[in-house]
Amino acid sequence: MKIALKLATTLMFAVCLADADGGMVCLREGSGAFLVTVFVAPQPARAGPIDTSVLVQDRQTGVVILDAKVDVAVRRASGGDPEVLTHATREQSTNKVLQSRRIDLPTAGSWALRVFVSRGAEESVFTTVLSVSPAAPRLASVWLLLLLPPVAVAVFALHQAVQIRAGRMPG
Amino acid sequence: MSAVARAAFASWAIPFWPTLGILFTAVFYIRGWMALRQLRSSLLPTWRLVCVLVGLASLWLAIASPLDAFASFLLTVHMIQHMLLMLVAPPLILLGSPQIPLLRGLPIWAARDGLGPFLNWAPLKRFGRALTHPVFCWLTAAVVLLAWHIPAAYDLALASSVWHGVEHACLFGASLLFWWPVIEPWPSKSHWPRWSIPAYLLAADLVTTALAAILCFSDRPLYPAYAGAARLFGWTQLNDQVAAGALMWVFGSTILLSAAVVVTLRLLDPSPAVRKPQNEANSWSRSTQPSRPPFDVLRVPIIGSLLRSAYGRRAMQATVLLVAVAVIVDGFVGHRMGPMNLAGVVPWTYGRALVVAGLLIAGNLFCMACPFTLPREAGRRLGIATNHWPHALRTKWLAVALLVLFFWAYETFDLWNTPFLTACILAAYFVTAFVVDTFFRGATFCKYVCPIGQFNFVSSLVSPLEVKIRRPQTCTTCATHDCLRGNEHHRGCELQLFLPQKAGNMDCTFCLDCVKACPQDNIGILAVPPGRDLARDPFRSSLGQFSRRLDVAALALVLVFSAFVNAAAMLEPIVSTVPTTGLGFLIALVLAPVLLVGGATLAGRCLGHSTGPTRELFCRFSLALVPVGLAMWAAHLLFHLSTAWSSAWPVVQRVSSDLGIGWLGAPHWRGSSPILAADTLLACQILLLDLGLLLSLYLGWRIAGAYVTQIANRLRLLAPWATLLVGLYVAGIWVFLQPMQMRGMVHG
Repeated sequence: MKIALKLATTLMFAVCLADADGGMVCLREGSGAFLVTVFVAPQPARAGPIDTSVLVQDRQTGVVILDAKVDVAVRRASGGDPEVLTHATREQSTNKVLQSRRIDLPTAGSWALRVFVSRGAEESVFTTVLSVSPAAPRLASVWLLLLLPPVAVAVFALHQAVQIRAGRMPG
Repeated sequence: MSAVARAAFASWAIPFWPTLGILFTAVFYIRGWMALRQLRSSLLPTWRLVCVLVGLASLWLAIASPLDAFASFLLTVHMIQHMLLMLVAPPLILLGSPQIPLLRGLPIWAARDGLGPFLNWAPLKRFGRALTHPVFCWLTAAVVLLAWHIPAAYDLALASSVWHGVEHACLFGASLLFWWPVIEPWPSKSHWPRWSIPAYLLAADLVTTALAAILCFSDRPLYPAYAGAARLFGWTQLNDQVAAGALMWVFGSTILLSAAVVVTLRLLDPSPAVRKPQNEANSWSRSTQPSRPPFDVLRVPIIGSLLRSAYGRRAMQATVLLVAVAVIVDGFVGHRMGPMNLAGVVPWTYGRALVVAGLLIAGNLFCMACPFTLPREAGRRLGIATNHWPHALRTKWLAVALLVLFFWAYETFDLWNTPFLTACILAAYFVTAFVVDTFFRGATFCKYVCPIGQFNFVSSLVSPLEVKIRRPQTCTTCATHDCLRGNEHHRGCELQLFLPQKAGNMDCTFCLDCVKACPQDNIGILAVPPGRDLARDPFRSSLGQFSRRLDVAALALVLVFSAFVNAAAMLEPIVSTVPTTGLGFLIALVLAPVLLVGGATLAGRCLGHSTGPTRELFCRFSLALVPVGLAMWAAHLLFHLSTAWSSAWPVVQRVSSDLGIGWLGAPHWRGSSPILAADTLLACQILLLDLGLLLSLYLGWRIAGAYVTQIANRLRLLAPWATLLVGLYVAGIWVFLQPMQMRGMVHG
């Protein structure tokens, strides 16, 4: 048991290191020297934190470019608010050929997503529009955990019924 | 290796729950395997252990390795993942005959009391037999394989991580069933003659081959999800599809046909060595096993020696004393802002959380390392500690009052943000401990006065470790009772706990004086089922029966209700509408518990036709609420630890800078991101509350069984308590769904 607990603790720390990952393709486009694929998770995108991952390839050869500088900017498609610019990195991605960044979209609606890719003298900008649904209720992410007590109580009731039937407990 | 390949191989993603499940399975299997090997070495040869471990490792590789990260880019990679899940991991795991070793590896109470009734339940046995029937197994595997390769289903799995997990679970589960009749893991019995198994495997190969052929010979891409995926290695989607089909064809057929050949060869081999030792295996029973002693911390190398050594506890106390002195000094002379002062950060952000974590993971570690008892030693040297604590005060009532007073003061004076007052309280603690223990015999301060100690005593009734005797029969021949009275070398228990009659951790400071005094080396820190002692009501040394201790019940209720009051007091809607007054706290921590618990007692007694005394029911059921209260404390303090985990370092830098030590650098007062993301934190909090609720309900059920025997009456007696518990659980979840004050943090 103690070994299991030690392993579980180690695992918890290891899991904390993992971060963003792929998701669904929301843009695949070539411009300048780059071919860029942008992934967004979760799908459909909901208001709140979303993972944005970018794969940069050489437009001619398709070879993955790991050392490109990738910045992601979002603003409401309707305009008004200032654009929020963030830097995507491979460290924040589970899939290390992608460059990821978690960005916060506070409200539902259409959001303009701009991806700036540069490498040496080469620079390109890619634009797409994200349709963001309203945020899911906080309980939606933990509904399975809310089911745990009733399920455990049901299993325990069955356990007791089996014991009563087997004559190990008074009925 | 190219940079891209290196990046690809570095793309590991560790899924928490599946990995935890695999780890626990491996640990329980190894424990069971070792126990069975001791019983009969020929029963499970080493190769079976290797098979299980390699099978589990391949399962983990499939879901955690870069295969998973690249499954959405290349069908071929996804196919490799599926091959591991269907053709590698399941047969290897089943070759280890995992049922009995896993059962044997579980804690005895879990195997015997938890799973035992189900394993002997006839309907479940029939269900298991139907589930492992070759026809069902074959059809399930075929249907699952084909269904998940329908383009719509396949694309659904690629679009959603949840469905991707469901797909993998289906493939792995169906494959376990498929391989069951082939391998017939001991002690399962075959439904069909063994000669039918090669045909079973060949039929499966036909299905696999047909599916592989569709993938290979289709002239168009079958899975639209891959159409938009980046082509990482220059393959077209169709090339990728053909490669995946070829892989399925070759690898699948190789495994299935090899298995058919092995089974056939064994059928043809007349040697008895290849026959399963059914009779020998089935003669095994749990009753023949030697009983396994419980886990004992004092038997653990290094840790055990350290704890038993003369200076083990002193070292811990000295460390905590140094921290306490630093907190007091900084509280008096340091920065006035709580988040920038040791007295604002150490006790309220870290101290409380670590105390509760220690209680949940081990036991009463705070009292073990408590520095407040050090003044007692100094006071004793004066030789005037000869008085007895007044009889009227030999209860927990004084501590109950002090706890309520403390919780009121915490909110009224914003102690978390008032370092000076925090330092005053800590200094007062040292002075009180010194004064009380200088004039009164024994550990009077710990037993009757210290509110922190009482909080820990009640909470540690749920802890998984307990200081207790190892072999009861050894104590029956003991006439000196050194654990209580001490001897010329070591003192006995100053809290008057006689170990053979000690039950649970109440009043135990984990000082280990009894361990050192026992001449038979018969006392350890043993693993116990958490909360077990809350369900029983034996006579307890120095405490009597809990069912007669109204003061202990009151202590438990203060612990439970203060958890909810303290957390709710951080919510803006509560702070802005409810004034923090002494009367309010009396209502919340005294009147409300008495009314709710008293009402539940009377209602349960009436509904359940119980003849048990009302006071006794009140006392015993009050203690059943402790797990949910402790869970609320843990969930609440986890929030503080997660959000303000980095707050200590800049404070340490500030203190060192004030002292003229510059090499730690200048403090950077900025908020850092929490350890746990908001959703993960909420999930952890709800999981803690779930576990607390379930343990409280279980304890209530056990206690109810002590008063009424009829199931219907037992349920009626429990019903009001269950309602109260669910109400507390819902209140806890509501609290955690609200935005909380960021106490103990510097913003911006």
